[in-house]
Amino acid sequence: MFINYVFIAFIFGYAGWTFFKFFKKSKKGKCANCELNKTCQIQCDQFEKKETPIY
Amino acid sequence: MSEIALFGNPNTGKTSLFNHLTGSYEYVGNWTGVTVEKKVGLLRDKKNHLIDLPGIYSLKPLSSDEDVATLFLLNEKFSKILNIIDASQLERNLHLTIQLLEFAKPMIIGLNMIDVSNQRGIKINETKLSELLGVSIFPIVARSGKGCKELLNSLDSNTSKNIESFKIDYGSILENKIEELSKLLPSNLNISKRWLAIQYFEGNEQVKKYLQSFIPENCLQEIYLDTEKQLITTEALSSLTKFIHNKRHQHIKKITSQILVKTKTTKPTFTDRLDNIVTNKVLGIPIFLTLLYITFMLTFDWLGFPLADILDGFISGPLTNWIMALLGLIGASAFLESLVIDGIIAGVGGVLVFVPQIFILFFAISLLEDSGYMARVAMVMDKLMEKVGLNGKAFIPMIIGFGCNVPGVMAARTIEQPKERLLTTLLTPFMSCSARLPVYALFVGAFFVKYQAFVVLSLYVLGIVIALILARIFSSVLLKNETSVFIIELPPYRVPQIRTLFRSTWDKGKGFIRKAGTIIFAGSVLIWLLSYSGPSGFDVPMNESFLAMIGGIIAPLFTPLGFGTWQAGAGLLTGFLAKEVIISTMSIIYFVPEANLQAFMATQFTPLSAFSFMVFVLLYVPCLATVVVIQKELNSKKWMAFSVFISFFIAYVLSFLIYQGGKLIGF
Repeated sequence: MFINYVFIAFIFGYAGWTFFKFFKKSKKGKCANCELNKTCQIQCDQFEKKETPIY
Repeated sequence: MSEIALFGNPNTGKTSLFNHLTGSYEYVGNWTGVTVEKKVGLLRDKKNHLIDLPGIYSLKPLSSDEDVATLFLLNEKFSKILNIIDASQLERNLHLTIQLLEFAKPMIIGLNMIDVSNQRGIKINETKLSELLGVSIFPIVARSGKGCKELLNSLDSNTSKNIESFKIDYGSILENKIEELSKLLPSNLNISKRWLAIQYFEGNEQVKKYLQSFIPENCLQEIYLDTEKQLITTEALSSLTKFIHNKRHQHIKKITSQILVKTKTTKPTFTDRLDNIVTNKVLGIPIFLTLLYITFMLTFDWLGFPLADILDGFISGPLTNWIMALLGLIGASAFLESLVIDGIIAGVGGVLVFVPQIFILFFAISLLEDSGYMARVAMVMDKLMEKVGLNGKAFIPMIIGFGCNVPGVMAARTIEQPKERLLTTLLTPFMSCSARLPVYALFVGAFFVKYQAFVVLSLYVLGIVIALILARIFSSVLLKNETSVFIIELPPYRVPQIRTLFRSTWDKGKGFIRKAGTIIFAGSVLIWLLSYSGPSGFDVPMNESFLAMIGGIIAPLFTPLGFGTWQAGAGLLTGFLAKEVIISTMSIIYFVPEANLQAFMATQFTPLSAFSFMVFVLLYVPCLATVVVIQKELNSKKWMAFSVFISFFIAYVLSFLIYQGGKLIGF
């Protein structure tokens, strides 16, 4: 029975952690979503932010 | 450790060179605007950093990606410039080279594509060019890596000459004014004062802002206007910018006359002959559609479907049996067994089945990109895009959006006009990204077996048509009186290298596999839990589960569209996380052991409601990641909300028309 709880805890734990990471990543936006984020050694947000005017 | 900055015109092979010199693998596209941000890599010798900047024709910024290069020169510390020049387009490339030389930092030139220029019958006297510019020049072929080793060695050594001596004579009027402006700048400045002055007179806005921190704005303006006035009267020119451009051009002509040797008369190349056909006014779009159709035939009928079938057989057969046996061995409870079999295997496995199709699609896209065809597509679309108020350049982010909408939205940065950029950002999510492909695959496999490729092609085309219609409407409201021209460099056609092709396919497709192990896994567990539990406890009948209750709340909204079931409602809700999760949800909800999901689906949908559902999935809302990127790129929550609203509205209206119209005519 004990092993059941271990597996269940592991699966739900991993799923919960993935959700947490996913939302954190999505909030960060373009850097976290960028394909280059593994090799890129700078933060994209150093790039000057541009206001897009609302018409 | 020192930093080396990599500069060059768009599509000169900077990213290829970056990959060779750093041993990393970055996305390489055979078109302009692939690099929209600077990126940093460690050189193979581990001694220096190489910074890859977006391709630019001039340092005077036109679009936001061009700002990156000027801002870099003004603000960042680096020791050397590596300028990559396309040997077959020498004259145009030298405009940027001259501006970089004027910056007066140690510089090395990589003369790329010498193979292409030789083929075209152009021979370059590299020694003479090196002498005239006063910098070391290394001939390279960045695509194959030829000459890159020598270039790498030279980057490490301190042999790069001092280029303080490089100077173009801009004539006495401008030279005096450059001198006058330089004197107003503080003496301890790290940046070449001459360069700052020339860039200011050329109209570089970023440099102007920089200078304003030392010199009052009215004083700067006075010098500028005075210089322009003097030059216009004496040289009969329309502007100062034009005057500087002309002076540089004359200088370049003088250089090229001494170093270029034409070895054979140019006759139409293979590229020219092929371009006459594929970019033809009448044939261009039909050829593009035919290639898309072939891609989908390959993805579905010819190769993808049989492969997916084999994988499906493996996952639902042997793999499930093994896991069942394993669960029996450890004495798993009914709860754990259901979680693993009905939740994880059904949810994650249901999506993994489509991996072969996704990879085939990405392989075909990589093939079209690397061969040089995709750049032509933008050109072919230019005429059509002009009619709706945009131009061909806006189509490039949209093509990138076919892979994933997130980089597509980011690529919209390369568009100069703010309003055109806004419009492209809003329209890119209408392009059918690869995450939507598994949804189509599931439905066409169940309902349109004979016309799979055709139905999917119709969805892709529908996405493009909707984007074009919206562009027409918005541009008449937003873009009044705003025009821009589209210039695109057409790279020569080439046979793609197998290595690049596989890496590029893997690069695009690995994200899909990664998602299966992360968000799709987590989504599957959550959906299973919601479907397994209900107000009366665990292991409830599916129709009494929390999932049925949640899906049931929004289901009536979809009844007029033909899929007003709680199952479809739940799928669409979870699809906002990532579109593939729709498949996980369907697989979990409709999970029937030992039975084919597609066969079971046929009892839940009709072909008409299935098509209506696919159209809805194509258009309804961009996924979470895309929505966030739209907000960040436009820096506006209002535009993000607008993007979500307009896509939902259009999806609803169109699915309604399709379903109700289809019913009326007897489908």
